[in-house]
This record gives sequence, C-alpha cells and structure tokens, in this order.
Amino acid sequence: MTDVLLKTLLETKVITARYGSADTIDGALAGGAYLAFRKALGMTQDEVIEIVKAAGLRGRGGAGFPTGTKWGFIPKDVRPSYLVCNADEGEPGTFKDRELMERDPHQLIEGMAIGAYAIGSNEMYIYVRGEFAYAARVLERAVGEAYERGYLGRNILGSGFDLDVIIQRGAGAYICGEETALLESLEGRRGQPRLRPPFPATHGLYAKPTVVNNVETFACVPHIITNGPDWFKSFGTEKSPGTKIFCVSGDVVRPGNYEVPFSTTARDLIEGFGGGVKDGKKLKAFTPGGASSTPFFGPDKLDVNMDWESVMAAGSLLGTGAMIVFAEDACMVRAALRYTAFYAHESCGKCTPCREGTYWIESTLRRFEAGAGREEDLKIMLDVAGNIGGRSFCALGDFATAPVTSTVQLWRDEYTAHIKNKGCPFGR
Amino acid sequence: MSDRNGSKPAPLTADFHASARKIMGRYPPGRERSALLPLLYLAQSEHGYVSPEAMGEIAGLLGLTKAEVAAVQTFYTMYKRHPQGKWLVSICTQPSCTLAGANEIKERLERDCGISCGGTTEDGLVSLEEVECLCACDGAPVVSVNYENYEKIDAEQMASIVQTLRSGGVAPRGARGEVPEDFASVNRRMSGLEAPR
Amino acid sequence: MAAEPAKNVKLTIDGQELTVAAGTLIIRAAEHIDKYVPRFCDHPYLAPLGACRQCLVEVEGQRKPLTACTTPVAEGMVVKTQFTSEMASDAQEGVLELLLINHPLDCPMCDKGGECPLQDQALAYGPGGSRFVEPKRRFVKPVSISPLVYLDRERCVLCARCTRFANEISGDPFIELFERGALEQVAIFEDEPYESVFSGNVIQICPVGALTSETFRFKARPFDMASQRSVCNHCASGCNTIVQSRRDQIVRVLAADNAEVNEVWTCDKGRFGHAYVQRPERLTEPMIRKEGDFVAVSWAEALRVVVEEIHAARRSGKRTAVLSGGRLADEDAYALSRFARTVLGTNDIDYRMRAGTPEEDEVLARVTRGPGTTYADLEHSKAIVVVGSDPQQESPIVFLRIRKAATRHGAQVFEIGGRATPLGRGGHSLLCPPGTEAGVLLGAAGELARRGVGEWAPELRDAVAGPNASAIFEQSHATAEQIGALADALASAGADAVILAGDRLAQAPGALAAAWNLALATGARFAWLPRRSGARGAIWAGVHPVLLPGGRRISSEADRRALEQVWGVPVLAEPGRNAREILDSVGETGVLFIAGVDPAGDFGDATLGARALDATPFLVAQDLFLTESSRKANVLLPALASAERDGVITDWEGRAQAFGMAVPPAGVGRPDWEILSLIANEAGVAFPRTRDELRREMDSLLLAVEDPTPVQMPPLPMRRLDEHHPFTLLTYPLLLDAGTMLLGANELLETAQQPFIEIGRADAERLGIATGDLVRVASACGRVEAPARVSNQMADRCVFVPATQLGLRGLGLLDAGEPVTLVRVEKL
Repeated sequence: MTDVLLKTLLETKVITARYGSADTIDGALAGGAYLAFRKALGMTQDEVIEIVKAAGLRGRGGAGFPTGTKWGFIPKDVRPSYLVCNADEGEPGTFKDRELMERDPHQLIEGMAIGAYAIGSNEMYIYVRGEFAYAARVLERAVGEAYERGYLGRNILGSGFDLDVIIQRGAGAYICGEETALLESLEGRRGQPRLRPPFPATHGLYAKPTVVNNVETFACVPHIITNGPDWFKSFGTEKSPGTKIFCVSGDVVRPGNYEVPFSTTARDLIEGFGGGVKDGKKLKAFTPGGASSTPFFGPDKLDVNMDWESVMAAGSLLGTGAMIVFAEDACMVRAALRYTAFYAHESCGKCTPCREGTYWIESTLRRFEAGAGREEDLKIMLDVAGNIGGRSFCALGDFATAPVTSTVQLWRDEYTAHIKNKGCPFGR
Repeated sequence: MSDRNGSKPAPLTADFHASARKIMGRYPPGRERSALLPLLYLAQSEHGYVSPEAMGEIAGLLGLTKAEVAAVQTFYTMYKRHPQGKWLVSICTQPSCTLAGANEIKERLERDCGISCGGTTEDGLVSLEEVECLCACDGAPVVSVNYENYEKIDAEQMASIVQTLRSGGVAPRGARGEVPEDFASVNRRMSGLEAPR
Repeated sequence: MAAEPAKNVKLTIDGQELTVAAGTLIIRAAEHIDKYVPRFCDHPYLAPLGACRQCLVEVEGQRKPLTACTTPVAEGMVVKTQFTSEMASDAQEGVLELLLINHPLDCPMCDKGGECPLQDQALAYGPGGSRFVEPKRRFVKPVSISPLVYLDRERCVLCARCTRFANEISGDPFIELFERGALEQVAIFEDEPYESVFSGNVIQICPVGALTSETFRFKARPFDMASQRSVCNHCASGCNTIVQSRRDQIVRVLAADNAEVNEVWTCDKGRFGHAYVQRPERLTEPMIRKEGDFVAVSWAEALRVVVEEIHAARRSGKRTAVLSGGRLADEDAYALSRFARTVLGTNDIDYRMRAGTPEEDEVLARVTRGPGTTYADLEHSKAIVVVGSDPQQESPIVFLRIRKAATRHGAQVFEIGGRATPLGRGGHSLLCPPGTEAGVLLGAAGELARRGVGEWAPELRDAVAGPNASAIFEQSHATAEQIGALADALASAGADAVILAGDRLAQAPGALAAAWNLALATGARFAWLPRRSGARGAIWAGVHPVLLPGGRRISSEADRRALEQVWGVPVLAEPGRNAREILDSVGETGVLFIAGVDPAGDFGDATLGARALDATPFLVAQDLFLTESSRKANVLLPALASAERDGVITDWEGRAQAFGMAVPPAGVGRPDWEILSLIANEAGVAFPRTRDELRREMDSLLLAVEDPTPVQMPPLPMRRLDEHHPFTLLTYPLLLDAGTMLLGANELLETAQQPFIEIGRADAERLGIATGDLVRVASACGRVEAPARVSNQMADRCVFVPATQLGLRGLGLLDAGEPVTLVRVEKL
C-alpha cells in the first residue's frame, strides 16, 4: 500500500473510528457516543431532517436513496410511526454491517435514535440477520446498557422524548433485506415484497408511516449532526458525499472492510488496500458493488471511481460496495452458477419471471458445469434473463440476471470452452 | 413429521406458554402476529426443530390457522423440519468462500460424518448444511457451528473441530472469541426471550 | 346515502380514447373497450397483487412495462397493450414461456381443458413452442385437500387467487402458500383440511387445472355441456348460478357473475348440492294410497280424488288447511295462497315450520311492503347489526358481503346472539341467552334515546322504557360498554346502517319488533334474513294466515276487496290458523295440503308434526321425495325441482330473479303452481292456466307503498327459571345438515360438521366437561347426545345444539309451546 493510500485510510475513519475501543458503553462514550443525540434532542425535528438532507447522505443499503428526503416523507400527523433498521445484511460479499454492529453498536443505536426523534417515532425495530448470533448478542448487550444509562426508555435525558427498541431476528431469507419484504417479516408473515404504491413512508409497518434504513446509513448520522453537513460533504464527490465502507474479498491478499471517501478508485481498493490478487495471479474480474444488481467488471474498469454516478456510467451499480475479486484461474461460468443458484434459492417465489427464470437459468448453468452445455443455451439464457429483467415484481429479479448476462457478454469464450471441453476447464 | 425414531416430540413445556406470552407482549396491542417468527424459534429451542404440535400451539396462541403458521415456517430456512443435531455445522458456499476452498471443506465433512448436507449423524450430534453468504467474507472460508463463525479455516481444521464435537468435547473458540452454544440455547436466544425489555 | 360524484379520467388505450372513473385499473379500463389483457393473478373481486406479471403493458413515458392490474389510470395516460406494442407483447410472451416451463403437459387429462385461461392465453399470446430441456419440477399429484377439492401442484401457476380468496374473502385461510422460490406451493396443514363452506369457489377462480372438483372429475368437457342460467334455492341469498348438464344429466353448478347479488361466489351447498334433482328416489308420478299402499295413478285420477275430498270437506263444514315450507318459487307460493283462498276457501295457510306471533306478522307485513335492503346497502354501511342469524351457516353470501363491508370498507359489525360466529372476528359479539335479544336491542335504543339520537315517537319511547324491558335487558347480560359501543356505531352511522334480523328471531319475544323500531328511529335500514329460499316470496304471496298477496291484510276490508276483484271469489274475513294451530287442531281439518314441507321431520318438537299428520283425515302432499310426512299422504303429487322448470324466486333483498329449466324432468311431475291450477280447474274454480297469466296477475297486485310505522312491542315475559333445566337452548340448522336437498351429495356431506354440542367455558368447567366428552342435553320434549365442544364465546348458561345434523337433531328438543326451550346438560 502506498503512503498516500495509507494516509487516506487512517484519516478517513469516521464510522469505523471507534473500532477496538467501543466494546462497552463507557468506551463508546469516551469516544463521543450519544453527544449527537443530546444535541439533536435540543433541535426541532425539522432541523434535524434538514441537516441530514443538506449533508446529502445517501442510503448505504444498495439503493442510494437520499436519507434526509426519505425522512421528510413521513407525515407528522399520523401516529404512531416507526423507525426500522435493516440489519439483514445478506448479499454475498458484503460484511460491513455485521462489523459495524459487532464493533460499535452504540453508534448504530445513536443514529437510529436521532432518526426516530426526527420523524417522531417512539418505537424502533432492528431486524437482524438470523445467522448473526454474535452481532445480535453484542447489540442486545449494548441496548441493555443504553437503557440503563438513560439513552433509551422514558424521558430520555430529560427531553420528554420516549424511545424503545425491539431487536427482531430474521430466519434465513435474503429477500427480507428488501424493505417491504422486511416489513412483512416483521409483521409475522412470509417475506414477500409488497405492492408499491403505497410506500412505506405512508403505509409501512402495520400500515403506519415507517422509515427503513441500512445499518451503515444510520451509523453516519451522529457524525453528521456533530460535525455538520459541510464537513460530511468535504469527503467524496458532489453527488456521493461522505465515506463508505467497501468490503473487499475473494482472491485478494488483504480481504477486509475499508472505510474510504467516495473519491476512491477500484484500483485503490483492490490493489492498494486489498493488496492485489493473491498468489501473484492476474485479475480476471471483480464486482463493483456486490452480487446484487451489478454485473462483473473486467480489469479495464479498475480506474473507475467508486461512487454512484461513476459506477453507473461505467455500466454497473454501486450497490452495497461489496467487491469480490476473481483471479485469472477462477471459472466465470461457475461464478455465474454460484450467484444464480443463490438467487434461485432466495427467490421468494411471488412473481413468475424470477421464480421460473432463475430455476431455468440455474438448471442450464448446472448442465454447463456438468459438461452438457450447448451453443444455443447461451441465447436461451440471455433471452430468459431478458424476460426477467424489468419484468419482475422487485429488484431481486433484475439482479438475478446480472451474473449470467455479464459473464456471457465478457467471458463467452469460457462458456464455449465448457461446451468443447464437456466440463469446466478451470476447476475453481 | 416426527423425530428420527418416528415418535412424537415431548409436549411443550409450561414454560413455553409463559415465555410465548412474554414475547407476544413486546409488540403493540393487536400486532401480536409479529411474535410468530420469534415463537417459531422458541418452539425450535424445545424440540430441536419446529414440530407440527408446536405449530398448532402457536396457531392457537396467535389466533391463526395452522396453515398460516406453516406457511411462514416453510418460507424461512432457519426453521428446521427435522430434529437437528446438537451442533448445526453450516458451510458457506458462496463465491468468496468457494474461491477460498469451501467445497473441499464440504466434501471432507460429508465424508467424515458419512452424511450429505441436509442430514444429521447417527449419534444425533452433528447436522451438516450448505448455506448462503454468512457475511464474513474477509474471513473466507467461513463455517459456523450453531451460528458461531469459524473463519479462514481449512478442511483439516474444520474436520478436527467436528471430530471434537462428536466425541463430546468442547469446540475451540470461534472467530469472535466465543465457544458455540448448543442448538437449543441458541434458538432460545433468537426468540428474543433474553433481550432487554 | 349520497355518493361523491366520481371524478372521470380520460386516457388512450391502443389509440382509442376513453373516459373512466378515477381509480380504475388499466386492466379494467381496457375491458370497457373490449380489449382483454391476459392475466392470471388479477381478479375483479380480489385486491390487486401484481404477482404473475402476465398483464404487462406499455405506458408512454415509462421505461419498463407496467402491470395493468395494479396501475390505476391517470389523466392523459397513453397505454399500449399487446395489440399495439412490441414491448408489451414481448413481455407477455416471455411470461407465458416461463409459466409453461414447469407446467405439465396434462391437457388431455385435465378437467380445465377447454375452459382454461392458460390454454387460451398461451395460444393467443404465448410462444409457439418450448425450448426448455431441463427437468421439470415434480410433485405428488393430485392431493385431496378436502373431500371436494383436489390440488395438483404441478399445474399451479402460483397466482395465489385461491389463497387470497380464502384469506381476503371468506376469512378461513386453511390453504396458504408454503415454501419459497420454485418450490412455492399451495398447501394445507397436514391435519387441517380445507374445511370451508366456500371452498368450491377456489375451483372456479383457479385459472388452471390446479384446483379441481372431486365430484366433477373426468365427467365432462366444457364444450360437451349445456348451460342454463339459474338461481340457487338452497337458501335466500339469491346466488346466480349456471347449471350445466350433459345428456340431460346435471354434472356441475357454477356461480354466475352478478355484481349486485353474489358477485361471483356461491357456497358449497349451492355448488355441490344438486344431486338430489336426479336421484332415483324422486317422485315421478301421482300416487294414491289404496288399501294401505301407494299405487301409481294418472293425473286425471289423482286430481279427481283430491277434488272429491275437498268438496266433501267443505260440504261437511270441516276446515281445510295448507302448509308450505318456504322453499317454493314465487309463482308456486302465489298459486298456493290463491288456491287456499279461492279453492279451499280458507285462510289456514302458513309457510313457517314453527309457531308464529302477532309481532312477527306485523313485522312481515311491513317487510313485504318496503323497498328491500340490498347487498349494496350492506356493503356500503358503516354499521351492521346482525341479530338472530348466523349468516355464515344460514345465508353464506350475505356473510361474505358483511365481511367485505368490514374488511374493505371499515364497517363496524355487531352480532347479538347466544354464540359467537365468524362475524365476531374483527367485530363485536354481544352474547346473550336466547330469548333476551330484545333486551340488548332495547338497551341500545334506550341509550340512543337518552343521547337524543334518532326520532323517538311516543310509542317507541314507551316500548323502550316499557315494563320488563330493563329486566329483560339485565337477563341479557349485555354490559354498558357493549351497549355503548353499539350505540356509538349506530349514532355515527345514521342512515348508513343495517339492522339484519334472521327469521328465527321471531322466537325471541319482542326482538323483531325492537329491531324494526330501532331501525325506524335511527334511520337505519332494516333487513329480514330468512333461511329458506322461498320465504320472501311466500310472505309476499300471502302464504300466511294473516297476510294477503302484496303485504295486504285479511283484517282490512279494502285489502280483501282488492283481492276479490282479481280473484272473483270472496275472501274469508277471519284470519286463519297458523302452522302450530293447524297441527294442533287437525281434528277439525278435513283436508290438509302440504307443499314442499315435512312437518313430521321439520317442526320443532319431536313428535307434534308426526302425530298431527297421522291424525289428519285426508292428507295431500306435493313434493319431490317421499319424506316422513309425504309418506303419510293419501295422495302424492309429484312436483319439480327448480332445475326442471322455469320460474322466478325472490331473495332476501326482495329481488325477484328468473331461473330456467336446465334438464327435463324424469317423469310426469309438474311445477307446484301448475298442480294447483289443475286442481282448481278440476274443481271448477277459475284459476290462471299458464305461468304468464299467473305472473300478470301477480304483477297487478304489486303494492309499492311502504309502511314505516312502529310495531307494537308484545309483553315481554320474564325469563323462566327451572332448576332442573338451568340452560337455555340455542338451536338452528347448520348449512350442511341432513336436509333432503343434500341427498346424494356424498362428498359434500363428508365436509359437514360432525355432531357436537357447544357449551361455554365457565359452564363446562363447572360441570367438568372438556371438549370431546360425550354429553347429553335433555328438554321436556326430548334428549340428544353428542361430543361436547367447549367455546370461549358462548352466552352464560346457554348451550347450542345443531338442529338438523345427521345423528343429532336439536330440533327435537324444542318445546313448541314456549318461545324459549330450557334444557339440562350432563356429562355421560
């Protein structure tokens, strides 16, 4: 890693700043926890929302929707309203939310509390991935501490504001990371996405106004309140202000979470922070934003700046910022199969295109890996992908098509090799 | 559905009903259906799986039909339909973990235990399953035991851990420094019974 | 209730401009101009889902196609369907291709073939062939999810119409979607079959052959069947049906679409209860008892014998009487009423199978004169009060509409009675011992009067405050809270309320009057909900000892004159005997006519009916079958089922609907009205000869003058106490019982409830009874035994015994002399 990069890494610790020292509430408090909450309680709700709007904070769960705007949609005259944290991180290659919860839970609680105050909600829910046993324990402990010290409960810090939180566990369904499916699950139902409109802002949990935001999004909030919108905008780009945790994994030397400003390139992250492809191999492919929504990029895209606009201009989507790296000897057909099998398994089944289409594509790709692929299957798979994309009930369908469409587009020769070879020529 | 011997599970304890009502009471009045997922975990903590009898009880508690309860139970993969072993070993086979050797781990464990993923060993101690991303990709490959992660682990090490579990020993500390709890305790925790408030 | 004028929206579909109401979905708007966008999950009576994605259309300005079934129209919207848009036709073809990949090639053996939306839409908009070479998803098939419904999961396209119907419409979600992804499937819980009186509807709305009828399986192809539009006559809901036959055998009954009446639903009884029509046990020719046995004779001989007896009876000064069951079509009922007065010269005619009261007579006279309360009124009410009725069992489609009012439009629903019914879920159940319903109604009335809400004329005020009113109120155990909630709802609903009284409420003294008067005072609509299909027609026709056709009264000279002018015969000025009186005094009766009724089997009090018929000197029975009663007849005249003739029948709303002949009769039976016309003709009395003549006469007697006057409260008896019989009996027939019209409907009867006796939890605990324990219930008149069912929702000291289940006849317990029957309960 170059000195410049190292400097960036060290200086850009905003939401990961307290990692290592925030295991107890005292550690977190010493690091400034709950000061922003205290400050927010002294402001009006609208003031808080305006600050978050001005900072340009965008949702870190994948969609990148402006958070302040989302909070502003909540009608003030309909009660009760709810604030929900989407901690159902499940995208392959994404592991930032889990670490945020494990290593600085109070930051999340504080960010949520500020949001709850801003929208006038007295009830928060944290929907935590079922498999995150350790993170949930840490969160439960932290919530208990927060109640004890008076940052949750009745008349918080003498402000007259009451706030409670319920931690609800998921049970093994990736689709519950979709906000309306999450709400269905919270209500005790199958996690199938809902028809929109109406939107959660007016008809969310229990058909009441609800804000759903990602863990990382909430984590940014206290810092924005403390330091102000201009400070936040000093990082990153004009349309993508602030910092982001990128999750680098796969065939790299130093897999891990890296919090960087939005003005960082893929090369910086993969070769700089990540240490480049391991075992001295060459880079074949990487996902700019995780499994969801994003086709693969080849080495020609390493200099793309990792912000929403630039990645979209380059033909992909930033998503959650999960970058999985594939070395030259990784089989892209197998990668496409892995991802497609994931989507097929996680498809909720509600809509025809996703349910039947992923079944079809997965079956075909399995046939390829087993050595029985045919030339005409490539067109068929692309057609099927075309029948899913833009036609499914929710975005999972769209995302499910990306692995196969981009691998056929960029590594068609590997598919052909499978056909000629009657099997996988790579093996991994 | 019954345990492997074909016999029915023991009736739910009195504690189940008391705990169930406590969980139901966390939610706003009239919204007790939100307790359904936690109650399925509670039932799973009693029997090692979600039994039809438990689903009937839960239906009664929440004023739902049994079909409505089963519809939810069958949607989510973490609710098991057959009694699980004391230790549920979950192997992630998503891209990052596969690139790091997850398939080798899976094949080794299946061989050692004499079962395929989805099954439970004869001694009732270990169940194996393949899972989706556990979101600890920087620690690939990741294998969890009752949802406690072992990361950057290889086939040999994981085989040794499973062997320890099968011989009644204590598993080593996982990636977060904790020892896995038994399946019943883990599920009880997931019902939120021990959460604050 | 004045509706806000709907805003209209102008849009263009496939180049054609049209204007529709705001809020209309694109898919519905397209139907206005006969453009059919293919669909599976969309259904006009279910909430939009948008799951199947079949109805994708192009909307200008949108980069992706939108589902027409979830998108409402917008001003100036430009829509292009598959007819003019490649984006739409591509998308639709793609969805069909995907639906067909896992769909089995079952058409040759699938019942849906020929009437299958998947077949039709695949042919019209799908790909020409398949390029799917992977293994298809397989399931064990078919699975019987109830004795009536088969499920084939391979064929299922997961449109969720069935699960949405069960959840949204009928409120009994015993079928649900299990699993997820490609494994998603409709399923039941293993020990909880799809037991719902509405289960047949999912067969009809399933767009593929996934849900099929076990009774219709492999019987006929749609193009092999003749279809006849009809009206169900199992109850008074008035469901429009389509009776389908093949080679003159009825093979199937479907619900017909009538948005104003049954929407597109019917209950399982109406759908599956048609086997009786063509059973071999049907009476097919006239019979006369000669030397103790029935001998088949010609119509000529039968008519001659009947007329001889009538003349003999009249000459010797004996009385004649007519009993009917309330299942006759309108023409039959009118003919019977006319026959009684003009041929028999009697007012001893009654359609009821229990004792009547002057109070009931007064309410019926007003009901038959008023404009009916309609399904639409129910649906758009803000408050609905149901008293003396269990609609889910007694008038299922009314139940569905009340549910719709509550779940879709937020109506508040109150039920008053001895046991809670599914109406109470999400509504209020005011549990009161049978016989004390008047107390609850008077309590509500009193509260409203106290608040100054409503118009309380002096007689109404008196009724509310009258003697015993407060005592009866106390006996009802209604709480101030409950009365308050009821009063609140009625006060805020004003005219947008319905008070729905079941016809059996007549047994509770003062209740019908109280209900009528409450409606009058508050401006709410009053609805009378009889159980039997012909009851409304019967009271209009005057099949009643006090009433004449059109709601006229025997006691009114002007009314008698009006009829005499039409009939050409004087009408007796004295009101007649009611059913109870007729049966009690058969000694005075020379000839008794029974038409479509079984007093021996159906009159409350186990033996009164049978004894009376045995003692009747001459009994003439018009019926479809040999029943306990008709087998005692001296002359048996074969009648026809509704499927075998044309006619008109009036539903509970007062809506007359025509039905047509679907299959020819097996023998020489005639419609009831025609039999009576033939007898009249034989007797030399002028009588309409054709149905047209009859109808013209009926139409000329229509009296559309309301009678919005209060009904006098009868004296309210104090609730009897009897230490040997400490429980009050609640009994009424369940939907699927031992009725004659269910003969032959074996699979349907398998879904009937097993005999049970329902008792409240506190009472059960006191007596040491748990669910499943065998208990005995005994009254002064009879006793029954059945397993107990402990309920959390029963009135105090009240026990429910189904009236007419196979193996459990609660009817036999009724003490016909008392409005309320007391019983004792003991564990065996």
